[in-house]
Amino acid sequence: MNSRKLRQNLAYSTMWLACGMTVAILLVVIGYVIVKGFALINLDFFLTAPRGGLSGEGGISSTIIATVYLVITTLVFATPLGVGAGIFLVEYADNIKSRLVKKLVAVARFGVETLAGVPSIIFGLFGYALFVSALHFGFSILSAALAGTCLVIPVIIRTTEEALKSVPNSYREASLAMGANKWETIWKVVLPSAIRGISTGVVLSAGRIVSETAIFYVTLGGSYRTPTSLMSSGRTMALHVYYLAMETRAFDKALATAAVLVVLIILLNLVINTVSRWLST
Amino acid sequence: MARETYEAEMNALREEMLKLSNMTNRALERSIVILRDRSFDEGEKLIEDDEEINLACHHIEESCLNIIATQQPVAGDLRFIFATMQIAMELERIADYAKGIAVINRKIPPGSHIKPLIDIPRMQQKAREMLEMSMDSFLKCDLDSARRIPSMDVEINLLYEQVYRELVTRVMESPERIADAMLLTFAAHNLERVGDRVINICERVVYLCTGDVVDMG
Amino acid sequence: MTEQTVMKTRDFTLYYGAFKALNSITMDIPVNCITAIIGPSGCGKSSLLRSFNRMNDLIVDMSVEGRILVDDEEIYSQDVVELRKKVGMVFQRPNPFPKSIFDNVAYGPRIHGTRDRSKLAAIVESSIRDAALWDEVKDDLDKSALSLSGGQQQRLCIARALAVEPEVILMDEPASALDPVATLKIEELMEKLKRKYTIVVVTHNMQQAARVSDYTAFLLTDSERAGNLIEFGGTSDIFTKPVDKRTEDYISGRFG
Repeated sequence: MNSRKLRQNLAYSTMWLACGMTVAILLVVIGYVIVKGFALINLDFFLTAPRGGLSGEGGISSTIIATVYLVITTLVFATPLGVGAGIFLVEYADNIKSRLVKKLVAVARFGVETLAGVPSIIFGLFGYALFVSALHFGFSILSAALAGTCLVIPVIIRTTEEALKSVPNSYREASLAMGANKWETIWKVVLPSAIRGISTGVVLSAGRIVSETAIFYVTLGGSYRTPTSLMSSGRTMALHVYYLAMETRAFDKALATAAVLVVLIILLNLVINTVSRWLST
Repeated sequence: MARETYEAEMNALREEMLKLSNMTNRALERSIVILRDRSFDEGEKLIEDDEEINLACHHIEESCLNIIATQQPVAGDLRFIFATMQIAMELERIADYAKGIAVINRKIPPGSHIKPLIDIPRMQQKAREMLEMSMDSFLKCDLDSARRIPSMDVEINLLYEQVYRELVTRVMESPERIADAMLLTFAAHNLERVGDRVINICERVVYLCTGDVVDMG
Repeated sequence: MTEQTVMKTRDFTLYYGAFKALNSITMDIPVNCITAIIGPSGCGKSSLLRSFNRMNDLIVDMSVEGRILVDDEEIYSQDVVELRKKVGMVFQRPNPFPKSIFDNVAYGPRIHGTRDRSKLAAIVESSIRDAALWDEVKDDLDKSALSLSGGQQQRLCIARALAVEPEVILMDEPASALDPVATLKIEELMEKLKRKYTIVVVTHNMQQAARVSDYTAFLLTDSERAGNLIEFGGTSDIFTKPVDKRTEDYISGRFG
């Protein structure tokens, strides 16, 4: 075999190996968690609350409720803000003539880009300083949701922008030419067309909130009780995994919780993929 | 240059019109020679050759239709095509008049005419002059020339009246030759009609140049 | 020109920033006629068309001089929403909304306040009929507009424009994205529509302008690349005996 062919085969094998190793790691991690964790999963596990303390007895019912509560609250704050900002940036910002506003918009755009890359713990500490301490919200769903909002807004703004930009300009022109004004055009033509892209961003954010730990560690507190109001403390499933692993002997329960979490994440990703495929038809 | 094929086709059309008008002019010339020299063989040839002129005219019409269908001419080009078709028809009619003179010659028994032919050749001369000038103004789109030519027809009409009066006089002197006199009158009438046809050609040239339809008769 | 005019421009000049796109255009658009605007690419035909319904307002940095009047009222003194109700537009590429056929045509009337479902249905039907599309879609108005063919979509866009009962319909090369059969259908439709509406159409296709229009305006850029109105007249006059040599050269295909 000549050297060119040899090199090609070598490259091919190396890449195969790299890909194989990646898949292997993925399978090992997920596989380990699921296989070990599934052993402990039964209906009780979902329906009982954790007992607290060193034993790690109980299930994960309160954490499920806390996670859902947190996701919903965060999205209630983040979605209108993020989508609104996205609409402003795409539909209104470029037509403004004022130099000052143009500068502000440029700063805002830069801000959104930067925020998207900030480590979530920073948002956590910010949330602790402002919401938990200064505003005296304490460790609560509210503080965590507000911190979470800061975390996911850049994502929602970006996906909203992309979704709006992908709506053909000809739709806007057609609407305006019939005598609709700008807001009517946005509300009745542009948004309905962009809704699928925007929802992808929202679902992505939900996934982010479900998987985050550091940011909620310092804003949510660690109460194992079921949260009853916005001001209640609680723990998400991700946090529960941490607590079980570090503060109790119930490592197996940690794995079980992790297994549930992994399945949830996989389901969320499936939803995102299906919605994106819908988009391209 | 844009539309080379189109320009080539238009130029080819001009060439064909030039050829047709030359053929018609020749036919007129020959017709009077035939009448004056009483040459029956030449007469037959002229009658036969008219077929060639008819074919040339039809070919020009076909070319015009072809250009309209395939090139969609507009404005000046369209007026040119339209004028070409109409003028070709006029030329074909003029050639028919020439042929008619040869037919008339056939009908007059051999021998000299009831009177020597002086005015009839002069009519033919004038008519051919008018024809040449009008075709020239067509190919050059010369508006002034086209406007001046119709007045020359007056001379032809005067000559025709003169021929008519003289022939009437001759018939009164020699009544047995009335048939010959009538035939000669017809020949002169043909030439007078040529003049009228040339005026039509000039009207088409004015249309070509300005887009206005005028009546110069 | 003996007809009444519904729209006029007087010394209308259009700037995109510092660039002069149209130079002092003065013309009258006669009512219930089809007026074609022709000229080589970049001469400002579409810019002029879009000025009539102030679609040019969407361009940042745009400024105008001179006047455009619709029904004897300056377009910049009128409410732009009312103006666009009176002066509708059909675009080069068919652009139906990704909604049902019914919702597309009902969009305009709904925006302008019609809510009653039966009234909307009547308007939708009459507009689609006027656009010569009814027989092809009447069985399923809830179908997505995007499932129609290109020619049908364009007629749907015309129906959509008709639904707000305009006086003038502006058409920006309405058939250039369509096949010849669909193009002819649009041209026939234009002939029908001019009885009720006034139509101004921009077209690249000279034969189309000659076939379809009653009046023709010829635009050409000058040395500063601004569009000027070179000649305006009856279509048969323009195409048999144009006055300006530049018009003759353009329509004979000798440039542009």
